[in-house]
Amino acid sequence: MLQITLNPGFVCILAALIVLAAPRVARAPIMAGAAVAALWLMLDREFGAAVADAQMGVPVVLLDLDALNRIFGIAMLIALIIIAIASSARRNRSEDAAILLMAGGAVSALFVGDLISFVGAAALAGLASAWIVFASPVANAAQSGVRLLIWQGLEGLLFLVGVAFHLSAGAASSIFTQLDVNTIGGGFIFVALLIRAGAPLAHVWLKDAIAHASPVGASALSVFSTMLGVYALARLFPAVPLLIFIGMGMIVIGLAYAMAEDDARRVGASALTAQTGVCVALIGLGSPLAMAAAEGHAFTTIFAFCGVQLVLGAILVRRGAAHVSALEGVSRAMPLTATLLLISALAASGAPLFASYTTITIALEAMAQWELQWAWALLACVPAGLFAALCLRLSLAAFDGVAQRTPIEEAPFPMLLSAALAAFFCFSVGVAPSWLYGLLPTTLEFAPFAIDRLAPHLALLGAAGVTLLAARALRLAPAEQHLRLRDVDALYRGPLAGAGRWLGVVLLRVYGTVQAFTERQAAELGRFVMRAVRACDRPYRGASGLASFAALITVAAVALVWRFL
Amino acid sequence: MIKPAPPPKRGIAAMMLLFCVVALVAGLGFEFLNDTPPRFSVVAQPGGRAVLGVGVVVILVLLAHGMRLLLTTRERGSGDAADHT
Repeated sequence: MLQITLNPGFVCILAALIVLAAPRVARAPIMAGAAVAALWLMLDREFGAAVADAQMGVPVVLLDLDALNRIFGIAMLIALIIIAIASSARRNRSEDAAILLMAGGAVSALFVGDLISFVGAAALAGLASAWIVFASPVANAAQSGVRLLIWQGLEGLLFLVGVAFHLSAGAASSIFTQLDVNTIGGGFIFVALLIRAGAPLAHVWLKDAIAHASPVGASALSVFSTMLGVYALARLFPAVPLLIFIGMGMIVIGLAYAMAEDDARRVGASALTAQTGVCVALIGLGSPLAMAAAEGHAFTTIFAFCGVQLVLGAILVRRGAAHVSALEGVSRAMPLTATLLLISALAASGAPLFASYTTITIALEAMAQWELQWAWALLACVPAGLFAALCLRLSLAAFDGVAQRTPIEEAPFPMLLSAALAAFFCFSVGVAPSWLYGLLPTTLEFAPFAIDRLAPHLALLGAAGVTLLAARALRLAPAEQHLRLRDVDALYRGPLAGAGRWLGVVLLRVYGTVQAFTERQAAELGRFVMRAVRACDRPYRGASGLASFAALITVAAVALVWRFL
Repeated sequence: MIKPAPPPKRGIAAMMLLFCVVALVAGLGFEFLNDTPPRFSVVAQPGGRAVLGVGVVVILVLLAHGMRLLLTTRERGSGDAADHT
């Protein structure tokens, strides 16, 4: 008997198809309704795997619910409700469907219980993310979409090769559980997941995509892309020490670019890379407390950066640009948006009373247990760096007033409402974190507001803020100016692309030369064959014909003599 | 007729500074007053986190200067992140 298991993500995928044909007024309710239905499906079910089916001898488990995927699922689906509210502010059917498809792919990937289904769902989410960028009205989004598609294609290829190698060990190995990074299959899957998480060298796709996506699309990308990679790393590769170094690299790169970039949405994307690096490093540590910290931090990061990208998107909608150097006067023209920007940035940088603080303190505690001093210090740098690079930089630019009074032109109400909801969620979890701790796979009794945790954190943020303000007052900090920074993508978009074009020209010429030579040789061969054929047709014509005839007579005579003697 | 004063331009910086100074003083005060057990790291000692905060920002400012010096690219018509201006 055929049993259909409804993975919560499938609801969003079905809703994506409906949204393609739905009128504008119905699209946002459908998106939010799909998220609520998926949440209900998830929370209504007991932990455990659904009945496994078999396809070509390989088990297919479409639903396997546990505490790890539940916490990611709750965060992603609540974020989808927030994004659905924001999506009602504009008219873009294609992007609405793409967002639902991406959410559906990501949520399906969370809940499946076998590798093949995971790769399929993750690939669907990746393709939908490229669709989101293609559907963006921002200039040059198409080129950025193509670049994202190449990254996603590379990731999918690595996934497929890895899964193929892994399955060669037997059908039972397709179960979605811890893998060995030292095997060939595990190694390929590991690299694919690093691309998805935005590890160093692969971090550029996130910045590029977010900078070119629409305001709502950028928010969806920050929620459903890298966090799926974090979940899969936590599921498949916990306690791989290499991840500690990779996470630290993400922190350094994220903080540096967040401080130096001018495009505020790129600043937000770099800050997200730094916070994702925290999660990746904790997964590399692998202790129960570190895993709980990683999962909790991913949960809080999803809401914080959903809010940040929504607010920056609102500024982009009204002012046509979201550059730090062009934020002057935002507080006068868009006072609510500017206030939400300050609150979202505080939430993203882990200020006390916000959700990220309650999880970064667990992360520091987990790192301290292993006495990795350098890693602990680098982890402690993240709130200070983000407070300076994201919160203070953006807020100072946005609240820097202009001398004349400007008319108020607030962001569309749905965008304000959605950003306020994200901020409220960060605040409510930050004030009462016990319910978040209750969702974690590890039972956790933790007091983030204990004075020996709160006081050093306040000192850290205060010292960072005073230092940055002093540096700005003394004109030692870099002035805000319109610029664009090169990154690793400069390699493949500059020299590497040039080298590729040059290699292509050389190969074409070599091919042309070889082809011309072959044609000449073939013509020569053809002429030779034709001569031979003509000679066979008229064997005794001309002097050579007589000579051939004489030779034939001679051979025949010799043969006869030999025979009869 | 009294002309209304122009809105303040740099008020936010002063408010931010006040917020940061209060946070720093309160944090340091509670850290030193609180009798805590010995910590595993130098940075984890009382006052260490404040030093770390200063160090992080100094390094980030230097890095930002260096990156802008070395990595700034000229804006073109078919540029990248700045295209939505």
